[in-house]
Amino acid sequence: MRELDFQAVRDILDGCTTLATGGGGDPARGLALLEAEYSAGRKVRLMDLDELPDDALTCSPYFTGSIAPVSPEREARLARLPRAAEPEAYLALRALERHLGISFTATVSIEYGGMNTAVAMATAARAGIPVVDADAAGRAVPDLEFSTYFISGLRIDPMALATRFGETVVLENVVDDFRAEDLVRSLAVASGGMIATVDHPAHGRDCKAGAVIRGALSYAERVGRAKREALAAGRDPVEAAREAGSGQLVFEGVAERDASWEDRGGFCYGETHLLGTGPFEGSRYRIWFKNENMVAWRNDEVDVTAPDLICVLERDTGRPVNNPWVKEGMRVAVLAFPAPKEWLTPRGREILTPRFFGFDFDPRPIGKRTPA
Amino acid sequence: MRVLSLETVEDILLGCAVLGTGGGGSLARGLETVRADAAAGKTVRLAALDELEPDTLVVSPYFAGSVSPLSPEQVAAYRHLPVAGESACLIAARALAEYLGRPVGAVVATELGGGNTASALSAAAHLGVPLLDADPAGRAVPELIHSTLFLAGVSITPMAAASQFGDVTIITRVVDDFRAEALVRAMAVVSQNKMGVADHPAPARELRGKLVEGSVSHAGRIGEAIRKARAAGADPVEAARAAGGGLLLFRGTVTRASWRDEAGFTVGEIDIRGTDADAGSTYHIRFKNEHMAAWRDGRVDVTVPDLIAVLETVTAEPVLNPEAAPGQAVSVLGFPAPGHWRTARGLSVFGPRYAGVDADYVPVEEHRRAGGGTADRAAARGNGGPAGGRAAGGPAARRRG
Repeated sequence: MRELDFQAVRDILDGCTTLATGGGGDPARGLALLEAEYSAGRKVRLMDLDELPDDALTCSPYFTGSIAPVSPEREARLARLPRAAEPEAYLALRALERHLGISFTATVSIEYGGMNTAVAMATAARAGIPVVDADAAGRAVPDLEFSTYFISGLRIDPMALATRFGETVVLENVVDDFRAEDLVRSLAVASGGMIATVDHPAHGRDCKAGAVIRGALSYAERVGRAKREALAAGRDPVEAAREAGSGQLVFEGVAERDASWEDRGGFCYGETHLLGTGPFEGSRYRIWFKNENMVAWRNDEVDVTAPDLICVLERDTGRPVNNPWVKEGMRVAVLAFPAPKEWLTPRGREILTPRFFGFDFDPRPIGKRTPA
Repeated sequence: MRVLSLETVEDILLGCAVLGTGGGGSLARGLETVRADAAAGKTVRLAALDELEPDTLVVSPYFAGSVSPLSPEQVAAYRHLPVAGESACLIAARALAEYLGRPVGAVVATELGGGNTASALSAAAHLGVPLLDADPAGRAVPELIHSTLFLAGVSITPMAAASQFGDVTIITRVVDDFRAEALVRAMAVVSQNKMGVADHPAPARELRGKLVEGSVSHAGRIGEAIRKARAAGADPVEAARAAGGGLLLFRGTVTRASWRDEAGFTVGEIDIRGTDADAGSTYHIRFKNEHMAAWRDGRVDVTVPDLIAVLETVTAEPVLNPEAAPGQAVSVLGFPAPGHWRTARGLSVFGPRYAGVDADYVPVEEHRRAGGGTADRAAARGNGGPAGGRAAGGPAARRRG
């Protein structure tokens, strides 16, 4: 167990955002949640997975949202409602505890992201419990079912939700994760676009047996810290991130135009187009995303695919670029990191693959090739 | 407490469909449900609120959603899902009891309607608990907030909502009843437009004075009167009017009927050309699930909360919205609303202005032009049934001999 100072919290969040493959939410909002806890004297404690007792219970607090616009009529109706006195995710965690008649021992981050990893940490600090040094995706993912919980067959429910108005809902006996997702998103839309979710109540023994990715937050912290230290020392933050995360530099270039994208069913679909510079002069690069980057092509040949991580960073600052905000003329570097091994299990291979997104090819794991 | 025969249950549902004023769910499907339950050996007991132990847990099970047809994409999306072995209402009622940690002791219908009262009857039959001879509307109503429990401030939560696939949600806290409705409707949109709900859990003692009592047996008397008049070759519309303490507002032929789906509500209009005593006049009815207001020759005749029931003239079969069709011979009956709706608070949520009529409320029995149905007016006032106000008298006072 390690109590984190705010610098460590920042490093974890920056690492998570760097590894979030273009998604995972707004790190500024995530940081604000944590600042609120730290200024009230509550700190995040990071617990090693092995410290978690077998019969302890964990859960994952995060936000589910839809980028589908809220109609003006609904916005007007919602504007008159009172705001919750406490953070929604904390209310949802307490609602789930009351429903189950238990207390959670720790929280687990549901996915890497400036927002959702922050919610797992801030909610834990608020509740006076640690966050486990683990993550249920090891990247950011567009759909609820893309988690290592799902790979290991752990149920998503009972789960609890809370709106920004302090309303709480418990879901149970959901048919499957897809139904859970449909119900949660519908409630998010009816509540202004976002809803706090606390799900996957899990035993310590399941977490340790592979339901979550061991050491995932300290891995992110190493990436975040390496970037920070490189910037301070005048070194290249992109190379520092690559080295700390054991990744590969797959491209450097300039955005040919603004990323093109559209909202379909609350998801952000689109493409980023790059023209090579430096050692990549004369090559082109194209990245397809559904919220997160899923497939990349070099000169129209498939280069990197999900579940591996495709991360776009600003070339000079190493700052991660969230989708769909790649702008024409932006100078970027693309790093690829190998997916956590849980995604390479037979069940993992079945879900987070290019085929799920409608492409007719299998994943091309970067771990199996020599770096470019 | 009495055990209801299938015949009595069917009478109740027929009466509920009359008092459903065009809404309240499908009578045909309601009858199917209760007949299937009876065939499976299930019976229902009807209990007055006073007959329950004060601590008995009472819940309201019902279906919420929209009647809008599903798109082919939706049908395809739902196809792979399992269908639960029992009704979503029942799943919700059981989930709520489990959440509260004590068994459901009685069920109360959320409103009177051919379909929705059947849902409560069926839930009571399957749970093996009595149905209360009461409801929180005394008629069918378009929205969740149109409930005497809402007026009396009885909490709608904790409430359970279940899809037909068996997914369960427990809404443990909500800002107000409007939000509860918004959340349930949102889930219905991704659940085949239908959620089973169980809400307003309360001990019997807390419900005293907060429901329209005797309303189910009142509906039963209307249904029984129609059934007997049909069998005897008498006028079943007149039988329904007399049994319900109402007025004959209009008789004629439907000339035009139109409707549309508006934010999940069935909204539309019916135009009727007068025959018999009403020859030369026209009648216009607007509905939002239920009939909201009626105009005779362009002038407001009746508005909610009073009941506007459209029946087929020959059979007294209630016409469900939006099924009125040109050429149909219909009679329009008016029944006074239960007293709860005639209070300032009741009228503020379910008065003429809700119906889009910018005028103060005038009770149906005072609306009739002089000389146009004196006997009817006397009938309405003299009848102390639920339509005349709960405080007006017990069940005995409701019988007109």
